[in-house]
Amino acid sequence: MIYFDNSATTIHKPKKVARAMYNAINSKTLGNPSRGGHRAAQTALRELFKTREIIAHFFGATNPLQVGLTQNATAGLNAVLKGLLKKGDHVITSMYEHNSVLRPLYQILGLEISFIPIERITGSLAYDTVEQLIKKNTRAIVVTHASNVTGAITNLHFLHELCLRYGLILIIDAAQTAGLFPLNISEFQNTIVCFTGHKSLYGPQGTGGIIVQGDIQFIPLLSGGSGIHSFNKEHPHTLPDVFEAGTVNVPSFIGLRAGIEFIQKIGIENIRKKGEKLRLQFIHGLKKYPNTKIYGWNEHSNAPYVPIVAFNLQGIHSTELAFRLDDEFNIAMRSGAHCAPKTHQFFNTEQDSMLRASFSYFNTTKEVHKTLQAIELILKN
Amino acid sequence: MLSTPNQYVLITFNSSHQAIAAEQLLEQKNILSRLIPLPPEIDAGCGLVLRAPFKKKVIVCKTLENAHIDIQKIYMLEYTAKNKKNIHAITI
Repeated sequence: MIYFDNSATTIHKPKKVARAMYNAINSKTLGNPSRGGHRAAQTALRELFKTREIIAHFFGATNPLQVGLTQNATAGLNAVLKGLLKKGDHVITSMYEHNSVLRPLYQILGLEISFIPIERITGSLAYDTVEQLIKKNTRAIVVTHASNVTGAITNLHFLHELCLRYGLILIIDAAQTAGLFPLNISEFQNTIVCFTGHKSLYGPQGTGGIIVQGDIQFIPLLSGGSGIHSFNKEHPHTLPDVFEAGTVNVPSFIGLRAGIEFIQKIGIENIRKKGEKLRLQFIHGLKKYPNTKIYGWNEHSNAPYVPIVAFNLQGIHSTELAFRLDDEFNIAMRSGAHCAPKTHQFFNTEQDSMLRASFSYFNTTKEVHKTLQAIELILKN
Repeated sequence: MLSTPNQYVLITFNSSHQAIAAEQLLEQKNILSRLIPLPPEIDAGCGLVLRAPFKKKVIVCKTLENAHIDIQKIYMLEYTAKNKKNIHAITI
């Protein structure tokens, strides 16, 4: 199989990820972290701490306790948004957001929401409009680090500077960039990063987290067992406990650690360069067809991208093309809507949808070449 | 008062994760310590406390403070005759 749906999840993982998870379960040494004081419970707690350490180091955080472990980016974003924002608050987000940001925001009754538009020419966010969106009751800017549809990377430093000037919290959805594009939270103040482990960090599904930089207080979204203060009616508000009601998935977070170690070994810059090479090779191949639409990218685009190409070809619906690539050539790409409704509205692809190719470090130029050949054959027939 | 092997300092935290962070930090500094279940003399319920030799109490507390690990309370644990425990809060 040629798998080009890595923005949804990566299926080719470093071998040591599976091995680490197998060994974790097979060791028979990992109890329930923070539940009880015996060795097995403490060993599990230490293993989680090692994962927090590597995540903190990877994202430039100084203290491993700034890292909360969640089941994915969606869970992290829900915990952060619903733990911070309330009726009467105003929040600024963007047209590029995934439903993992939009739906939790819509759920907060009485929350005012403004959207940063997308620039039609470059495909970047229209940064010059952001300042005028800020109101007296604005509490935060919530933004994806890269669009899951177009791959365009957000200029976080610009938004952070505004946040500093107006006393806002910056909340970053790093689902599409963690492991592909550097993000150093030490360069940001009063900032929260939510990430997932199963995409470009090469961890298993069911892993993700929250990194908090600054003295930010949260109301816990979930309450339950914490392993401490059992007779208190309220779940602890301390980091990272505030995000971790119930038993954490220890074997999977040990697997995630192995995924991050792999990235550290290869080097994020080498991973980024490889993805960019594949992205440009694919774009170049698609452009030979007349009226090819590549969304959010053109020769004028000067922002960096993660290795995603969203496109439509004239004469064939994206869903049909995706089906034939899968059925006839065993090539996996995602068609349909991409959980980013505002982005589809902007590009007017609510009906036609679009096809998305997304590459990982394990993809090759040969695979891109084969895929372009397959597309050519489908268009001829 | 000189400490004996039967005297320990106990440090409580607001989170078990802070307790683990404290243990790891002290290990890096070659200060012997271990985590033990929260003694009922301190509080009912659950959780972990850090136990270290009483004579190391100052350096332990300083090390944790320097690393911004929040200490909740500090106690002295003393084993008396017939392995009976005596625990009381102290200040450093």
